[in-house]
Amino acid sequence: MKKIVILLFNILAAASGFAQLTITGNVLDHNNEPIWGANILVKNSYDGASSDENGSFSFKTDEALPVTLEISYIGYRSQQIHIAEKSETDRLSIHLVEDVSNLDNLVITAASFEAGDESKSTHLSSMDIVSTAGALGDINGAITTLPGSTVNGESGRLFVRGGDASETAVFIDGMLVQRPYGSSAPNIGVRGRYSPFLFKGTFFSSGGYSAEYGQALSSVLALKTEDMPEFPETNLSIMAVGLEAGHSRKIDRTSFHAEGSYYNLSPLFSILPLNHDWEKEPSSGSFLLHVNHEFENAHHLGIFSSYQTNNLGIYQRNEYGQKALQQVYNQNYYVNVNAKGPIGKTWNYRAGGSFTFNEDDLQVDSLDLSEKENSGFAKMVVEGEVSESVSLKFGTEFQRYSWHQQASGLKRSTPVTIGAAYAEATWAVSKKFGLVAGYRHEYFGPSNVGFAMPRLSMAYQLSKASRVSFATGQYYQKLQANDYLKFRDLDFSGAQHYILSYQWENRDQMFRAELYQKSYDDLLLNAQSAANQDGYGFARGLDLWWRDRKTIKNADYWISYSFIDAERLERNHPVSAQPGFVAQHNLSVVYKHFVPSLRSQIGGTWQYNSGRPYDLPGDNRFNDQLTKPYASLNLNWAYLYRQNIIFYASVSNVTGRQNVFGRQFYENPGQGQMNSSPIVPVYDRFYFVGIFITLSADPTKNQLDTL
Amino acid sequence: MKKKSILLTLGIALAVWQVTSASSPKFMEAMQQKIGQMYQSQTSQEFVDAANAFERIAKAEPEKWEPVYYAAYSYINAGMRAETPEKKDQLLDRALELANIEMAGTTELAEFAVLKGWVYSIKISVDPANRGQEYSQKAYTEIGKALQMTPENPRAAFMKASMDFGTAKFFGNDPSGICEQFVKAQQLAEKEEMKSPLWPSWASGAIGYYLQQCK
Repeated sequence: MKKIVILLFNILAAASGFAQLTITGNVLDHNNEPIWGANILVKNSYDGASSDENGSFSFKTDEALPVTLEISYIGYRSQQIHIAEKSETDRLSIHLVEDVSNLDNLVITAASFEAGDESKSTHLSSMDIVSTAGALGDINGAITTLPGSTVNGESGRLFVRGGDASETAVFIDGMLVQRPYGSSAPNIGVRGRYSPFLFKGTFFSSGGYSAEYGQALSSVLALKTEDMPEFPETNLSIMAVGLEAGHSRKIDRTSFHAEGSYYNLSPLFSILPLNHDWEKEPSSGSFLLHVNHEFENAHHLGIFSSYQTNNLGIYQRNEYGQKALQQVYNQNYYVNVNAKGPIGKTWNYRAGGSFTFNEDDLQVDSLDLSEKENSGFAKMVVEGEVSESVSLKFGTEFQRYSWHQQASGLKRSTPVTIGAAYAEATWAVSKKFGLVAGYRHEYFGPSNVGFAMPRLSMAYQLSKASRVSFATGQYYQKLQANDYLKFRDLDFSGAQHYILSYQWENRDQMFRAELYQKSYDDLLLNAQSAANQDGYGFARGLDLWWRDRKTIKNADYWISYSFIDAERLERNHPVSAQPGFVAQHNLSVVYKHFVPSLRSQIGGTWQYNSGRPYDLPGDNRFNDQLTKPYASLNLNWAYLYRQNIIFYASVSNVTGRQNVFGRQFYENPGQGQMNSSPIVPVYDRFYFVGIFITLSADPTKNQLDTL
Repeated sequence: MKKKSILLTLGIALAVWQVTSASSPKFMEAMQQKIGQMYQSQTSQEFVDAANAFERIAKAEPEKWEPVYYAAYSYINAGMRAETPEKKDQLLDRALELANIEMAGTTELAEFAVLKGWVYSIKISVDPANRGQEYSQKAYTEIGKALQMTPENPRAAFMKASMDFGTAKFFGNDPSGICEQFVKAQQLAEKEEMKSPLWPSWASGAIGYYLQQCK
């Protein structure tokens, strides 16, 4: 027996010694360029080598034929080669292909801006948004520095490519936010309800968006909530306008974040020169709770809820030119529940809902008015890659919306139901060309009608750095609540988008030029006797965008310019004319400079809009007057005092330029002539100072992103 | 016939034995040799070669964590020395991918957390203005986890000290206060018991470098 074992050993040793192979070859990419550092291994052994500068390799192995080689390189698809004969071990020529499926490679950039580091085409990080001078920590304020949007200071909302404020829909984690803005008196701008540092990602689209989004004629703003810190953390903000405090912690797989805030503008308003008389300076309070739970099997549940209240009292001229008190008291509850996770290996789901309860108690000229807005929204999406080049998405959506108005014995309300279903396919036809085709169908309960919304976008890669994209689609949205209240037999207004986009980018620079055409129809038109939906309009224009983080050391700047040509025949317009919220020329320059020696970021933003039209009553022309151009230069300075303490100061409209947003006319009984006054901002110049403190188990965490 | 089948059975048994139990000395030997070679590496490309060697072993020994650890460690070193920011990111991302290993052992997990923290802190240097805030948080989180799991870990202590050192320098503060942390890390390194011949032991050299600076 012993003999046999020894014999066997000898045979084995001899066999392996005899079988020592030398394997040589080279590794090339698809352009026949050598790959340096590719890993070549013999399966089930330690043997192998790395390719050298010329892509060549050579190594010996004790393994006996047949062997399988595996060749891999980061970013490339691994390849296996089976070798059965000794003659095959010499001068192997291996071609590796890049491991990006065409689907991953497909980026359609028409009309969209994404912030956050998850996206491949990151144009703005969340940090960029919050550190933009003049934005004062308002997401919308930062977005007006992107091409396509017009500054409308008297509103504070987003006006995108010739669309009005109601045409932008806002989503948090995919769920609708019915009232993303606070409440205010007429012609006093509002701010977004949610602070930008609640979100790690911002997706802003100014047209041509996916079939997943409905009830928005012009634009979509989708916000993704922030991940929570691993260690307990407390944030404290002390500002000239108020206080904010927050705390986060994680217990096992559940993380909690709670924050509260109180803002009151009266101290600041008592020292700033103001353009209006205030009875009660704006104040607000909020409480917010955000809970995330990660299940073991990659399922995720998030609950985001907030309560906010704000109020103000201001004297404004009524229709007879007399100063009258307007008071606003707003309460808003918002709850957002969302779940996501895998279904099998290739499919994922996202599901959830959101509820908004909003109440405005208004006192207008001693008349009491109460407006309640309730909205329930539910959504379910299933998506997955069915092959290397095709992915599919299916979804359904349901919304129940109601608006109640109550004023001195008069009570009106509008319950509305909207259902939607959609399907969308993304097809990477080739390495260079891909398209997304979708169809959305919406059903409008009250009038029992369906609306078809086909959508299509495509991209062609011209070179590694540049591509052209095209997007088109049909979009619908319901009338605004107070209009629908009056005209029950009306349903949706529509818009059709065409966008042609060219984009060039490298790591630190990006240029984009975009042409668009949007045609509106079924707009509300108030004829003499009754309202109808015979209104129509168009918006067309050119957007340019340049961003550069390279040319000037430690600096980052972007320039955006939009030309908008828009006309509408709607509401009480006697003719088709440029709407009052559209400025033809819109220019923004944003500059940020980091000065390491001062541990500071110093920034400036300059915005310019050409004049916006208003109507001079009494003449036979419509909207033919123009306000003077709007311009504002804003500066900010953030100083990192310690890792966890930041001092921040900013001045908006440094030059104190007296901007005008429009003109308001009053009847002048008995005199036959109308009086008017300009619509002006709350202040011409604004100062902001604050200290932001973070207390955390993590010592470097600071709040630069809150600025 | 009977003899033949006995022979065959024996042969198979022998082969199985060679692959399983006998692979251990072979594994140790290969690893020790490659680790020795890796520490000699100077350039990014040499570290890539080292990483490739560890990846080859890892492929053949899917149950072992050491080759994965040293592959990640090599990629980090390759990333640090890479010329272009794209290449740096690519190598560091691969290191991160490897370091995200699923493991049961806390002490091993802590070692991988140190590597992850290290990756994040190097990734900051690729784009400080944009990444500083987010990645320094991530880096500290990982090091924090490592210290929570293994409070006496000299590599975690060193990584924390070196990050604090960098931060202090950035803020123009006197970094000498942090030198104590390096002294402490060195003491931890000296009294550390190697849990196996392949256990990571790279902190000492790096600590020495900082202690020089502290003088």
